[in-house]
Amino acid sequence: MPRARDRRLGPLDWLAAAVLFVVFLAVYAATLAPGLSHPAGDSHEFTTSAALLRLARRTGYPLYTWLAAAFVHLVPAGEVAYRANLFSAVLGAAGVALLYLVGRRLDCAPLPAAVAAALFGVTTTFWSQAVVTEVYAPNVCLLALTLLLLLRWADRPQAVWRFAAFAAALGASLGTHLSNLGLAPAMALFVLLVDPGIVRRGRLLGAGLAAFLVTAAQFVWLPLRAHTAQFPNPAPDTLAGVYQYTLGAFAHLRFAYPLGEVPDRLAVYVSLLLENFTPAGVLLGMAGMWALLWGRPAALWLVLGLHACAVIPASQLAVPDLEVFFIPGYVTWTLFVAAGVQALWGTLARAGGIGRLARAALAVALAWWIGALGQTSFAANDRHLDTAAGDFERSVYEVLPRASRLVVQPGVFGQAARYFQDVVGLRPDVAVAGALGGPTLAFDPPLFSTVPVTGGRLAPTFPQRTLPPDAWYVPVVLGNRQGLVLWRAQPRPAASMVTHATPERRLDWWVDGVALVATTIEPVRHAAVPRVHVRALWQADGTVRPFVSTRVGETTLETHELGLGVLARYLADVGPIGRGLFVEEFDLVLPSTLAAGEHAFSIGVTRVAETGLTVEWMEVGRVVVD
Amino acid sequence: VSSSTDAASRTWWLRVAGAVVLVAVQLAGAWVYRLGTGREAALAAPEAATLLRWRPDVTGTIEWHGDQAFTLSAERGLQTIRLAPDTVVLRGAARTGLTALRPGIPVSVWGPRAGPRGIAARAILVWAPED
Repeated sequence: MPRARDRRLGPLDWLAAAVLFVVFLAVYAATLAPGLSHPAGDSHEFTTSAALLRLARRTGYPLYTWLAAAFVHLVPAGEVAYRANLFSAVLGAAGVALLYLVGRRLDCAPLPAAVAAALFGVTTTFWSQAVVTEVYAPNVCLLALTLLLLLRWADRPQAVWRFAAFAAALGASLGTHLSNLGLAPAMALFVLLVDPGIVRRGRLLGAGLAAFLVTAAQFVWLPLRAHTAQFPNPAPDTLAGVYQYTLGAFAHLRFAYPLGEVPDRLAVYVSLLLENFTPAGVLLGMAGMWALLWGRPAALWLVLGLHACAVIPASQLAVPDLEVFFIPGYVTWTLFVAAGVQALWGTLARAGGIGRLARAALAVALAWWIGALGQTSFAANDRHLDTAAGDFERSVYEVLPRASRLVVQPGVFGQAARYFQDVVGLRPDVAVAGALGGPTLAFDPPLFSTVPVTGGRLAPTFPQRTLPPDAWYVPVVLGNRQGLVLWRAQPRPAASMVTHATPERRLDWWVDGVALVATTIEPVRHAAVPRVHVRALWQADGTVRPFVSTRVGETTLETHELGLGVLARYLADVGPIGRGLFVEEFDLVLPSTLAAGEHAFSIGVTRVAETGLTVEWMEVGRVVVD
Repeated sequence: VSSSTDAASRTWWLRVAGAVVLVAVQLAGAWVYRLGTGREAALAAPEAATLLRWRPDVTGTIEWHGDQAFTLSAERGLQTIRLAPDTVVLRGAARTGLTALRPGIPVSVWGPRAGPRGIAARAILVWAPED
């Protein structure tokens, strides 16, 4: 049995952790998305799952769902989506505080431990996940807690309850991200290095195994709530189904690259590490490895092992949001940084009077460094004006006729509409269907959709069964971010798409072969979110496909191809417009964050030349926001 | 930092093995870092096959056009992509024109950072299946 020195955390440590928690909660809250964020990713589904205790997407995330559910139901702040975002901020800040305590358990002095934790807190990737509803910030909290409890056990290896607490935390962390299971080999190696005789201690091992199984048993939630799984997720209602939902999930995305590309993939990680920690942070981490080797080799093997177990599988993932999968790797790099700063700090401490001065200078330099990185991250991750998704969905539910049907994207991407109906309680009379649900719907009652449309037809790359494939998809509402369009499905083009009437007041603004002949911009009265009705008459023969933009004040709202595909299809299927004018007509949702007062409303046309893009703008009206 | 906690951690072989692994890891890290900086060279003579081996600096959907720039809606929020006369636009392995940069089209962009939310595009890969 190895003898141990118990590194107890003092009151000052808890105070410092509390300060870090408060500071980071404040900065994350200041940049928090006020509702459903855009683009959605998995965020909208996690919000809805938490609010309604539905089964989340693969791999189920039971603990995350329960904690988020408790948070959104108990914290009376803002709407549910805001609370779910705040949950990320709270557990993200808690993760930063716990990383400080982990640093202290690694024998770092308070300042190096705090610097490393704060550095992690301002890394761009982690910050981006602490201001929206996602699992990555809560997962850092659970991961840091697991490491803290493991290092606490290492100080008294005979303590059964300490080992059980660590094992319970590891099992629990699987419910915030199942990939934490991949870190277990590094933890097992550390356990063996700390106490090689552990294999003969049945009571301790048994307690650990039991604690792990108890918390990992959270996955029983999957078959119990299988009936709430959102299609197209397969329902985990059999053993094979549970396996496919958890350990077998996303098998085609894991280890997706040939062995020959391993160096290239790791280079991707190195470039991201440099982006997040800066070269100084990377050098400090490399120095910290050697400091740990010298001071606490078993801990080096733990952190290095965790780093390898986190980074290598993540680097082999074929996913578009690769950077977030490296966050556990950044957690371990933070511990290297803590050891590196500690080595520097300790060296200066041994240099007498000059050392004291140098330490003061170092502390100032480190504080400036963290502050500068924080400023950059703040600007990059400020989501407090991110209202586009909520503005759009509220407007959609306001515009839809009574008892109409709305077809949304299947799975995680169609959750915004479900959130506003199932959680917020908007328009229960509207039947919302997923585009993969089938059977194909008719045009009566009125049929609307928010799935991608190109060229006036459903996007050819979008698999769906619910919407009639040959229908005309006409824009009705445009959100103030790209991709937010409500389409009305109709069997044939409306006669009003082309007019031969002569407008009373002609603009005749010609840009690159098309002319904006006339416009009317009218505010929509009593709208929950401010919006304007835009009617623009264009003279266009179809030989050019201009991009049209809308702008309020200095804020560009969106850009679309003239006609949003309807003009192109009209020219192809019906014929040339001749002397007629093409009518583009839709409601445009203004940002709910727009300042009260009068704003200029402009239409822009993008000129595309060999040398680049330019936009020509014309003010066509004024809008007043109350 | 001295510790009496870990009996195993004081064995000499643990330090020796650790030193060997650290040397190997840090040399390997330096090597892959050099590979990473080779990306710049690849961008100078872009071919999609070369570019696609590397992580794009940002991937997202084109939101709106500005002067010599467009805005991209990415996982990390809005990014401003600045164009230069030598910016290369690719579809697959072939060069294409700026007209391929249409709103709603998913693209990947390679290039150095230009401000906290900006990329100075060296190469843009258009993911749209059709023109």
